Amino acid sequence: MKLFSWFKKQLFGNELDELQQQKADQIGHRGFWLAWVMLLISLFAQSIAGAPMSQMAAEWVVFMAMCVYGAVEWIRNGIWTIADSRPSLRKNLVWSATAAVAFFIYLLVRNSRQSWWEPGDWWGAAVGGVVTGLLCLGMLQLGSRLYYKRRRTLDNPEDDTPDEDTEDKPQNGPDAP
Amino acid sequence: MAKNLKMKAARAEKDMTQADLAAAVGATRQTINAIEKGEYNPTIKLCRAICKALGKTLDELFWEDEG
Repeated sequence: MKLFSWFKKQLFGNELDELQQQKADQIGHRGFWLAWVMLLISLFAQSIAGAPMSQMAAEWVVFMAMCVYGAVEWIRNGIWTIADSRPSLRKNLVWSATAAVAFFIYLLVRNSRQSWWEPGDWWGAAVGGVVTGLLCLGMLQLGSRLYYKRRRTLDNPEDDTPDEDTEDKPQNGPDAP
Repeated sequence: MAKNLKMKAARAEKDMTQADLAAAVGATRQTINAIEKGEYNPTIKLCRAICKALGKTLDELFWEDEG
């Protein structure tokens, strides 16, 4: 990173001040989410319209790369979401159910384009919704587990000196190991 | 960045663990640890919250000694 900073200084001259750097970080943050949402919409729209997978492959790869990068980096840094730092089974169930319903509706709309609401479409969409919900729940539970494990590591660094909190750590309560 | 030993000493004076201070100011222990190690520059808002929790002024905790 020092080498990168040196190159940046040589190429672009003066570095940004604090406020400018904050603004630049905000722009990058919003840009990431803008790209993510637009890719999702693009994939969704093309899928509904019946486009073949080969047509969507490039967007799919970029979208998945953003998802994997986001998930890995957020958990690695001990962050769950912006709004919530305490994932639980109940919350994960709610999110999984939401995903299941959303996917059910998506499948129903996509599959019934030609047949206009045949009974088979409903069953197919229901199965797809349930499987999606279960997969989401599995991934969220795994993610929660990894998140809490990472949080414990970050909040209890190995290089603590003996006069740090290990001596006076309470036996019970929220700080207990 | 230099370690913030003044903050660590003030915390010890109050008999607070890093976790206690973190809970008092609404931060994680990771953040408090990073500030004390000199690995993170807190915002003024967090500095003020830490000063309030430890009963010290900004100068007493966060002024950098020359030399």
